[in-house]
Amino acid sequence: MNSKAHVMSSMTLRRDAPSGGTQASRRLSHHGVTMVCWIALGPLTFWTIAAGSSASAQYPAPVDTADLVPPSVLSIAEAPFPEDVAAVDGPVTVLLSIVVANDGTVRDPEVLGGPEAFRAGAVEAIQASRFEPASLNGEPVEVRIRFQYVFQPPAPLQEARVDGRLEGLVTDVDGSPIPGARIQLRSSVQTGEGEAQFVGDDGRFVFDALPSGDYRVSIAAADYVAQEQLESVTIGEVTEVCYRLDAADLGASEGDETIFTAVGVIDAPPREVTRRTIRREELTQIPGTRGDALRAIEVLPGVGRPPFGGGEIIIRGSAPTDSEIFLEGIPLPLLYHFGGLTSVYNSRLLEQIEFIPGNFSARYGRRIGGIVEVEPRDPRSDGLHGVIEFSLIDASVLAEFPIGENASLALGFRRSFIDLIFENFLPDDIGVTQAPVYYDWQSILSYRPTSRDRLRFQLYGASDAFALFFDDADTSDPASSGDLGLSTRFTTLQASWNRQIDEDAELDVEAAFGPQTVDFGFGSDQNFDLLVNQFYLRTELRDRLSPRYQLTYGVDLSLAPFRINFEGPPLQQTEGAGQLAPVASADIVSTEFSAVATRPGLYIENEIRPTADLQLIAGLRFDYDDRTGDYAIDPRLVANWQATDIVRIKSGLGLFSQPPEFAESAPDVGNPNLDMIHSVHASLGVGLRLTEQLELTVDGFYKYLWDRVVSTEQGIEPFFINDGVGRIYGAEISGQLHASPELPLFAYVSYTISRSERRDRNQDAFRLFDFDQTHILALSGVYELPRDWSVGLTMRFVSGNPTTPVVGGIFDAQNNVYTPVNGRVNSVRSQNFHRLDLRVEKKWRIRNGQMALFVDVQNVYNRMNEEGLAFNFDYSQSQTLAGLPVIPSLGIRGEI
Amino acid sequence: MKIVALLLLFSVSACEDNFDPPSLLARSRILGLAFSVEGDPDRTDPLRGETVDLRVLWAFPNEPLPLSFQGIACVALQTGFGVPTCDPDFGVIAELEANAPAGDMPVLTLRVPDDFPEGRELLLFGGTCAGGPVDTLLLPADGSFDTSALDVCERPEDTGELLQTTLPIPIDIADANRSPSLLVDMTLAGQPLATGNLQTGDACSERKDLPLLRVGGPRVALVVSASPESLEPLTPEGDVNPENEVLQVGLMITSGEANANFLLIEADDLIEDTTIRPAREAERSPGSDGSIERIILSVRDGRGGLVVQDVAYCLLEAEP
Repeated sequence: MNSKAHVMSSMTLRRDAPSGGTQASRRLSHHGVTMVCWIALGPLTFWTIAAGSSASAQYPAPVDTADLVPPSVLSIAEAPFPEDVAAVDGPVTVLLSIVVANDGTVRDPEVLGGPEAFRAGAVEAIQASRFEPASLNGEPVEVRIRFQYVFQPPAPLQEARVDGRLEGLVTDVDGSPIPGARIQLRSSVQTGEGEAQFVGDDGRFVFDALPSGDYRVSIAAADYVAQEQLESVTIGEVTEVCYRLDAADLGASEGDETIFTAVGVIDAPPREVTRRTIRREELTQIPGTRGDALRAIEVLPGVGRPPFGGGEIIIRGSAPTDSEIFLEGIPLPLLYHFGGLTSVYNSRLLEQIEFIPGNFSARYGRRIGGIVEVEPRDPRSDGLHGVIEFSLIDASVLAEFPIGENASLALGFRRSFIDLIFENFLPDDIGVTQAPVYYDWQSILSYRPTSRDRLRFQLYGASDAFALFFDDADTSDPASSGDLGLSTRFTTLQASWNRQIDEDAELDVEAAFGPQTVDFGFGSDQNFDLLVNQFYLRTELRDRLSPRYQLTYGVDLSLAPFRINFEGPPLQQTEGAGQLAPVASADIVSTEFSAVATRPGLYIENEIRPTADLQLIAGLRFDYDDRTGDYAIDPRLVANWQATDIVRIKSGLGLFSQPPEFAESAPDVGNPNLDMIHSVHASLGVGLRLTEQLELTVDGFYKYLWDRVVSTEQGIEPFFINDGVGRIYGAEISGQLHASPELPLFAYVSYTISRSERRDRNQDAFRLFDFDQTHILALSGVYELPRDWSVGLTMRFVSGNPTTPVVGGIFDAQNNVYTPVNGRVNSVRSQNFHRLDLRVEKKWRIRNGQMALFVDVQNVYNRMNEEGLAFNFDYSQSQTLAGLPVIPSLGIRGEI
Repeated sequence: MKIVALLLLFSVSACEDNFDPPSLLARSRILGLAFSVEGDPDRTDPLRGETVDLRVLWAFPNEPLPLSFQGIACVALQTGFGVPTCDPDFGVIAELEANAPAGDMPVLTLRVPDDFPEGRELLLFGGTCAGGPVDTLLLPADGSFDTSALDVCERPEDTGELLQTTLPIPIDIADANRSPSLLVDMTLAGQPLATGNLQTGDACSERKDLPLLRVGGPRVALVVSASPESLEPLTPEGDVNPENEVLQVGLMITSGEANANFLLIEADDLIEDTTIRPAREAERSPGSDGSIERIILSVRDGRGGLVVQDVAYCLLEAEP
């Protein structure tokens, strides 16, 4: 029996009718021990505390004595189940009468009833328990109450160990614990009022022996703003959460809703070897990201850095196109505005971000790199809330509010300010037809028609556009003059339905539809227009057939009518291509065609727990691509072993497949007969949970790629073939320090050493991948200072990217340009990259809200990092292209 | 695509390079190859069985230098990108070599074989040196080129260039291209530009026929125009609507900087202009007599036609 005070409880206030006083009852459950107490308060009004209340419920004032506050439990000592009692049929109750002193201690226990064998244990335990004393007119008072101590028969050990656990911390915004805060837990399949407990002096709480499923958690504390969160618990896993409550506005009138900024933290159940769940409230403070949680992916282990911070996601040495971003199971068409400036989805609407660098679940297909799963949250249902934020880059507004009893709505919009200043940075010979501007918008409607169903509708999108006019041709290419324009737009309507069929089965249905357009043009010779009307459907059923076996199966379908209009130099593989020739030297090709890309996928996963400590997940995925007529069957296996309370060992092996890009298989400019690209992932890792705050992980990985799509030699027909292979191997070490009341610092440290190589043709030797970065070190930390100040630093050190030397140029006499002669591909490296970012934020509490002022400085010491090489017109001279200089971004945010 | 745009944005906003302007004629530079079919000198495309003369054109900032050329002609492999290559199925058609004393240009003579494959292009690849001979090791024996051997000249002090061009071999003479006409009008700061055998650096303060610019002076407009006849109609492959060819005017100047290195004269726009920035004081000291500065314009039709125009203006000392 666990002696820790892992209390599962449920409580509420309800009017009851025992005459002669106020009575409250509380049901508390330990491992095998249930305690029910009635709190009798003499001749005062009677109350009974018995079952869960709604999330925002406050203690109503007693009817007759408004200033009387009954004692509340702070901690209940656990009584051992008597060893000489062999078995009991059900709970055993010992009825006690106790005095709760005005310092919260218990004295003078009297046994009023109960089996003899249990009495001594109950008395001993109750004397070691602590209460928040009763108070009358604000002063602590001593009261005698009746307390019912109930022993539950101990559950079989094995059964207990396959339950899940939710544990965590409740603090104020400074990280100080809030003793006595009330946590109420209600299962999504539970129709009752759930269970509740009060946190102890250290602010911690634990709900143990929980069945797997989603839980709605309500957190309330006197003088703090209540909140409600949705958490998931999985058998055999610990879901750790941290709730940070804002102080209530004491100047507000009673009953006013006040704001809070607390967020839930959840370590999701792993279906992969390595799954890093990003804590939103931490990552929105990562310096250098301007509060953008999705930008903070860059500090995670295994994530490479694209030149100029261009927004491409490079995961464990994979090409950016090999990885996918999912928003609630649906691929997100675009992650960042203007190639990395800021993400297209408001971070304040995110519940969590999960980063899966490899060996991902069979749920995910059509990609051979890594996965980022972005989970939006439900809009707030406890009143109107809003956030307005201005920075030098953009401004955003977000509003969320309830609609009726079971629905809530969030609306967000953002617009950039770059267009207001852009012209000032351009040379005279470049005209601005349309200054760069981006927008994004989000709306989320969440509706819970029953306790078992959740419907969520989203409409979101983004638009980026700019258009310039180049009066004069570029120094080395006569084709680079005239209009340059780029616009990308997408709008997605997404609906999801989650149904908890019963305690063991859950159904997810997600569907999305929306147009995506890319329009690019430069001069008269380069045009690329793409229109995709993407339809995506995913249905997944998870059924726990026994405590040791869960079956998951699903289908996802990507149906994409698309139209491509291309005119320009012949398409070619850009990775490993070295310096490209000027457009003027190329024969212009064009194609225009429409088609429908139909890509169905089926998957099944068997999660087996041979023992409580061992989890095996065997998955199988089938994918078909009608553009190439090719299919793939990918088996995947993951094993997780909780070796000790501290050490977790994990490993995975699996196949992954991906269809070619649309353009690569397009007629006229590509090869419609291409096959799918494949890779095998193998990984082995160790996770160490050294303390409640400190975690370390070490992961090793190996990937082999084959059937990579590469250009034919010099672009002869059929232009693209599946002749490329690749190999990637490395190790990642990461540490996370979570904030605690004693040390309000959260910090990430990650180091990756890896090598990523490619071979384009059988006769070639392996060469380095364009973004092979041997060493990637990221340090990031934010320290919460008193008076609502916070300061954070992010430091990154990354090996320079490989580059292909240009050994000279050949004069193209027909077009009057030089074409570069590339040396050995990626045979030299740029200088190492390092950069320090700083973020300082100060908050002020105001009536019904708060304001924050922040400054986010990128590249504090103005390091001129080498991002590439520029060449003169005949390639006889070169110079380095420097990255972005120091960029301070000042912003202000207001919340109500 | 996003990266291209982003890099472009950075390149235009924050990353000005420190290279010499490409328009600056500070050393001997290749201008191109001019083709002329024997017996029909305006025509640039030879038919099968015809002979074509190739002149190697250079620009010199000062005195001209002796020139040399070595190369080969072959059937071009149909490629999409990369260094041009001979089609190994056909071998080398001819090895070409020519030398010329200072002031002259090497002239190569090539006869197109009667059995030149239909629909294919002729590839000419070679090296040319200003000041001395081409390194004989450069000449490939089998039509493949060692592009890592980029020391074109025998003597390191000479200036060498690798060059290549492709030439269509039409079946019908009506499809053949003709060399573009010379530009019909050229003005600098509103004054006509002088042509003729003018030498960079010669005194010019007394010459009234030259536009006068001063060291450190403002940018002035260079206007060039072509006659409508210069733009031949052509029918792009796979298209039924005829278009006119586009003239590309390349600029080299012996001092200062041209705002653009290329002007594109399109069918409906027969005049193009750019600006010329006179040399700054630190760059040039023309002396009290002024100095002749030259502008070399190469006019291409993009189909093998090339003519060169050498014009001049007078650069005076900065305003006192």
